[in-house]
Amino acid sequence: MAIRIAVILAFALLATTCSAKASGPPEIAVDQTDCSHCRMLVSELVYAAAYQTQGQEPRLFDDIGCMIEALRSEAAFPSNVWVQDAAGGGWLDANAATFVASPDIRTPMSGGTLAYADAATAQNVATSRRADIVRSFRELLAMKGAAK
Amino acid sequence: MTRVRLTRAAAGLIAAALAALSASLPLWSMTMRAPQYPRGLHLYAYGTKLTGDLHEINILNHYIGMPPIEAPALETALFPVGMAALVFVCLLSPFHKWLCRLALMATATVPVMMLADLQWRLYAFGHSLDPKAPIRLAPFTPLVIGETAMGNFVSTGMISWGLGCIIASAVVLLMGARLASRWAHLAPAPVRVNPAIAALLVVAFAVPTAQASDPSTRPNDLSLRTGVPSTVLQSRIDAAPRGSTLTIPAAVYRGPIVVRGPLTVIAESGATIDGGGRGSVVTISGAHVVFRGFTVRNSGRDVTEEAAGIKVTGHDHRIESNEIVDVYFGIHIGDGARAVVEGNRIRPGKAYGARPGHGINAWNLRDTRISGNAIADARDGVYLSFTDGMVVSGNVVTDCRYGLHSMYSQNARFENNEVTRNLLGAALMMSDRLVLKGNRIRQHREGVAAYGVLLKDIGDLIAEENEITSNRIAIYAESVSSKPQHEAVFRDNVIAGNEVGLALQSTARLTLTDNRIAENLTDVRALGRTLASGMRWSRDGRGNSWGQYRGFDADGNGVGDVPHRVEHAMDALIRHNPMMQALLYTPAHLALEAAARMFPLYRQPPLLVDQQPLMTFTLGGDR
Repeated sequence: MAIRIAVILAFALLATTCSAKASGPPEIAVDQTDCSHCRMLVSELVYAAAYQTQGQEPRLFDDIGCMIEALRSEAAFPSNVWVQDAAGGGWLDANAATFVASPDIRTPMSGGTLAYADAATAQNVATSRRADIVRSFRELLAMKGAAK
Repeated sequence: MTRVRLTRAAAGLIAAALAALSASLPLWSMTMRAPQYPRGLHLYAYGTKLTGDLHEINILNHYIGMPPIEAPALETALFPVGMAALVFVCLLSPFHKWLCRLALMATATVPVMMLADLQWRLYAFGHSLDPKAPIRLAPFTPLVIGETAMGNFVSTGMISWGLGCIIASAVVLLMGARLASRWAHLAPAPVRVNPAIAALLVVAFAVPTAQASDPSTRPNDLSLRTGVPSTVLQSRIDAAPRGSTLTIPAAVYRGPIVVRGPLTVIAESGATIDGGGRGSVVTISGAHVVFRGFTVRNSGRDVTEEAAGIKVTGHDHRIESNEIVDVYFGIHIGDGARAVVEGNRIRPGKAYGARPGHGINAWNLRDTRISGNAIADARDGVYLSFTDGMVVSGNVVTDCRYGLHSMYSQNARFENNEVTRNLLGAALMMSDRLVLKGNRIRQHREGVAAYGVLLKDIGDLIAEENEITSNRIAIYAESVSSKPQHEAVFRDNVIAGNEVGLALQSTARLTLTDNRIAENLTDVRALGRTLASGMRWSRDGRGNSWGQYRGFDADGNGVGDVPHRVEHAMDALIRHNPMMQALLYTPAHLALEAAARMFPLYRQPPLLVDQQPLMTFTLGGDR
């Protein structure tokens, strides 16, 4: 009986972890996953972005620019939007990120946008690369003409 | 008589004073001049110490593997004793003819011995070079007096005031002895010690020796300058007249190096530039730079830094026959025009975790030829972005992410390239007016996008005489041509031995004529519900040569008399029920295909019909 309960609990635990995973940002297998907008392989983590609309699988992009393009065709704004920290810190909520944008920043699809978890780092990069600093994701969308 | 004694005493006193003074002055000096040190680097050798730009000189010497120069222990220990003896002998010289001769001999010999010792030391330094040094020079001997060239430095050795004083003391003794003997000849008399003179001599001896032991050194403002070792090569480049040709001898040079044109820089075999893992190794700007034959290695690797083995801006450059290894980007060339990148071997390498940057990254570039390069282990072999009028020909690209990659580019020609075993062969995206000709694109079978050719959002394209074989999917197309007025034409290609010949989204609108499409597990697969109505399988009465064609040519015109229908009953089933994919390539699949062919009862509506299938095919066209 105890074993049966243990097995059930184990399955329950497994199920929760699986479902918890599904609600987070997607895992990126470098060179093994393609961008859901431009079809290029995602080869560099620091430029990647993802979002998830209610009840859908998350969509992964190789470039923040690709994500913004994809957002244009979404009927509703996604429940979750994530970007990779260009300083290498992994996924972060796009609403908590500071962005650095310039046509001279060469991202995979030339979106020209980097995201940083740390605003001071972003400011330094913006200064050194003579790029614009964009304080929020909403502001970025407005700048790219993709605000809803 | 007194005159004779006074002359001898004065000569002895002056000689002793000069000898004592020499102990506080530099004996010898050396100046090293190079273009990056216009004021020269100076070294002063005192009897007991070395001063001047010793630190800089030792840093520079380290790069040629010379041991650090320091005051030799034996000489510095002997010097005070020797000088004291010399002064003492000089002081004694007035008392006897032989003492005078001894003093004369000593003051004359000491400078010669010192120079001989210095020369021996210089020889030893120039001949104990570490063979593992970054810059390897042949052993050399800097001259103790005179000029010696070492690499791009010229050293000048010269006697300094201290040694001059000793020589002067010998001269004074000689003169004194001559004068005294002339006057003594007139009235010879015994020499007596004058206590007052002796006291004077003692004072004269004591003061300079005390000075000599004073630890304060010459103020050394020169040591404030920082010596940058990369300037060894950089200074030669900077010093070269505009438009001239520099030949760089074999050695390992520290980067970063900046070359501004017009200038030709040619490496002798074995000349290597090492970036030390920071930034771009070589940066080329201006116009008309020829950069040939170097091994370039070890750039920075920060992703957003965009460091390259060779970073190029400007126009009319030639980057030829270099070997570029262990870098982020191999060659990053942009913001310019009319360059030639030819015959380079580029292997950025996977040694640092994730994939490195592109082998050749062309950005905002016009009318440039990239040919005959061998590229492996890069992200994309050749990557074009925002370019116009590029020719990419005869390159060999293997084991990269994408072999050839065009983004936002127009008028690019990809010709006669060998593209093998990458994750994807040629990715042509967001580009217009492209030519893909005579390439061999093979063995792209690994990963989720194992395509020979990926076409996406392309305007005009002519793809001809390519061999696209042994890939998982030979050609994947989506949104081609992107606009109705454009045309993407495939002619005279061999598309064979792939799992899928053409995998086409419903937005793919290609024209295929005179191609050989054979021996693929699936010749054509529709990725949407159907193929685009704009797909054309023949032009001007000529379709394609299909390995699966079962028709005949009764009139012998080379064109089959019955159309070729691609049906793929299995694909139709998969479209209706994706679960059927599990049965692909099983005996059930083959049986179904055979049944569909033999019993029209099972026939699905055809995926495509080639109205003019060809009976024969010759590579290169037979029209």
